Amino acid sequence: MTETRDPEPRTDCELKLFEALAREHSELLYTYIASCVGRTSLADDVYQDTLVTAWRRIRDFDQTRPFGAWLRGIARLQIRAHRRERAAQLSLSDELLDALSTRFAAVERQAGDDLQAKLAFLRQCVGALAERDREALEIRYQEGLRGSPLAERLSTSIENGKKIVQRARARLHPTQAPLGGGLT
Amino acid sequence: MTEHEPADAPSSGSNEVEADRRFVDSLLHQHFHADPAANQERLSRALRELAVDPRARPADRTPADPGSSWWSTAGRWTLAASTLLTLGLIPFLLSDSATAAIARSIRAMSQAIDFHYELQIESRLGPTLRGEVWIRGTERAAVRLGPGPDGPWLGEGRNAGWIVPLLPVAPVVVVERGKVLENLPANQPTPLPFLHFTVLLEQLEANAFDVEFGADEQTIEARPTADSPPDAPTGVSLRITAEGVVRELVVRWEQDVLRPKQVTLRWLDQTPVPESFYEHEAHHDGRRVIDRR
Repeated sequence: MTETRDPEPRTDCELKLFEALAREHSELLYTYIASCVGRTSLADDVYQDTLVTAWRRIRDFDQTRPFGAWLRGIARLQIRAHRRERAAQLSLSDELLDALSTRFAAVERQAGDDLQAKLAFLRQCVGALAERDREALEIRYQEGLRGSPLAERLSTSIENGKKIVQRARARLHPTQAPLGGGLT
Repeated sequence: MTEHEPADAPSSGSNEVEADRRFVDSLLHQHFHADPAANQERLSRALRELAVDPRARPADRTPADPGSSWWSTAGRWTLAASTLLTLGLIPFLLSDSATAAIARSIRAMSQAIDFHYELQIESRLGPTLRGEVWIRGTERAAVRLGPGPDGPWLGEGRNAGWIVPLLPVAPVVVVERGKVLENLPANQPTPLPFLHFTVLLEQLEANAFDVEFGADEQTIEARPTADSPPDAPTGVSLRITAEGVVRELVVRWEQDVLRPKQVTLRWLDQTPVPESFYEHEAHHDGRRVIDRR
């Protein structure tokens, strides 16, 4: 990102507070970036660039806006910059980035000190799934299996294994019944 | 690390559908495979980067335009919170959730929210004095002493501190900001209107109090030590919300006959009041003599 101006040197007081805010929003920021670019080294780069840019521009931050939303805005600019360089790998439209940002803003509004606490609604919903669906999600996300290994664990075909995971995920879709009023 | 799942992706769909898929996928990753160590390492790496940024050096002067900086508007309590964060003297502040709570509460208190408290001052000699306190952010406060709406009132407005005596013929006293509430009985060690728990903690620390946090991290008990000032309270109890708002503050003087026995503030609500409420004109008929000191 091009630096347009460099205001006053930051104070130690500012740095400490920035660190506290960054710590609070770190996981959600990374999760947002990962939803955009995948859990790759690029996500790490975007995350780092986002925090460094945010720190440099902290005096531009409008305190009437949520800090997390401001960070995601910076992350979005970083992703766009990477998109120009890696058009073939990153097929992300601005509309998709906006739609993801809106969804993460809803997570941010959930009660809780950190992301794990904010995801209490998700734990409830996963707990309420049928055992088969829950098992599929655990195998897929907790153990990181997919394709043939996932199908073997579910004792089904590869195609069916994929569909079971898709179906379980669809049952957790924010606009569908299982999440209820958890996210709006 | 895993890529997004092209194999799981729908063959077609709108941005909204794709956003939902990525969103749920990302949350599920986080839910089933949270990796606090990786998160900490990622954060530490970024913070190390900040530390070598030449702009991260402590400034040897104040910002040229304090009004333009949200940090500057945070004022005294930002500094107080930062001091606590920097010193790390209180074990409570070593936890991430507590640090986050401070950051959140700083933001909450920076907004124009009117916190309304019940005030109770238990005297050793006479009846208990009751009143109400309104606090907006760090810069505005109004206190009504006594049971009736006529006051007396005292407060800190935009440009000055003020006292509106109960007696209608008495002049309204206007003084420089910060002077009026210094004399309120509850004001030691609780510098109203800065009724923010980070500030209270700093005050307690500055007065060499032993501070003990309850297991729920929302109750705090403080007692003076041998190094505390001789007129310090003999005990301070504090209850705060998860957002750092002071829910209840009790300050006790068990021995000092010159002080009230106990001062209690209890959070009532946060019903908005107009900006003018923090100016003296709102609490008299406007025809009273103004005594500027």
